[in-house]
Amino acid sequence: MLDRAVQAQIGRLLRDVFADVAHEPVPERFVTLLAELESKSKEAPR
Amino acid sequence: MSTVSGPVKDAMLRLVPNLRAFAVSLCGNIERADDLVQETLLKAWNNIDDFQEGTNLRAWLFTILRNTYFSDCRRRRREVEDRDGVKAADLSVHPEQPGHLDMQDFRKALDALPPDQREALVLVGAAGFSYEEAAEISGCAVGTIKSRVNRARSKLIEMLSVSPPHEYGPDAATEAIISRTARGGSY
Repeated sequence: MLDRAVQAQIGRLLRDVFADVAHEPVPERFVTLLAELESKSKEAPR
Repeated sequence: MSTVSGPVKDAMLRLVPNLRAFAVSLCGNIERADDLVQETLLKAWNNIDDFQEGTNLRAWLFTILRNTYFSDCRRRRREVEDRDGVKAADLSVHPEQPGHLDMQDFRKALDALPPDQREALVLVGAAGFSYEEAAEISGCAVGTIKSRVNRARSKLIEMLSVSPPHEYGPDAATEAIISRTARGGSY
């Protein structure tokens, strides 16, 4: 009985831990990184 | 000929929050997680020809990220060596309030799991992948993923339960010694 309640909480907390970060906005460093990669590949397409 | 089209770049950018969430769940640390994401994006960009358009970009990026993480761990010669229960055995979390688990207790317990079990649990239980997809991402059989998820769940229950574990584990052994000692000290 207790295990079942704990199991339900585990499922919820697991999703919360993930969602907490997944709902944060994209940090600037990654926007910059992808923009740089894109402009590089436009300059010198392999 | 390797070019990344705008839509793929945009899709990668949209998947960054998901990649960060996965990375944090794996390594438990946001700085290291962001480095993993950075490395993942670079590798993905440089190997974009390996990605088959129309297939699951999210699963492909998750695969790169977990491979990066696990080879990183091997390089660091830690964590991966901590197989079943070595570290987990020392760390049982006792919630202050019976029946209530807070996020911190949970994070501690999650971090104490062997990395392969934590990965399986997060892929299936948090990231929403099917067992089949999780198996493909982790490069193992579906049965292996299922058993990792099951072991992860029961270990978390054990760590987070207010009732002491009785059936197995060092706690049971310790209890047995204590009770034998209490009965007369001969063993």
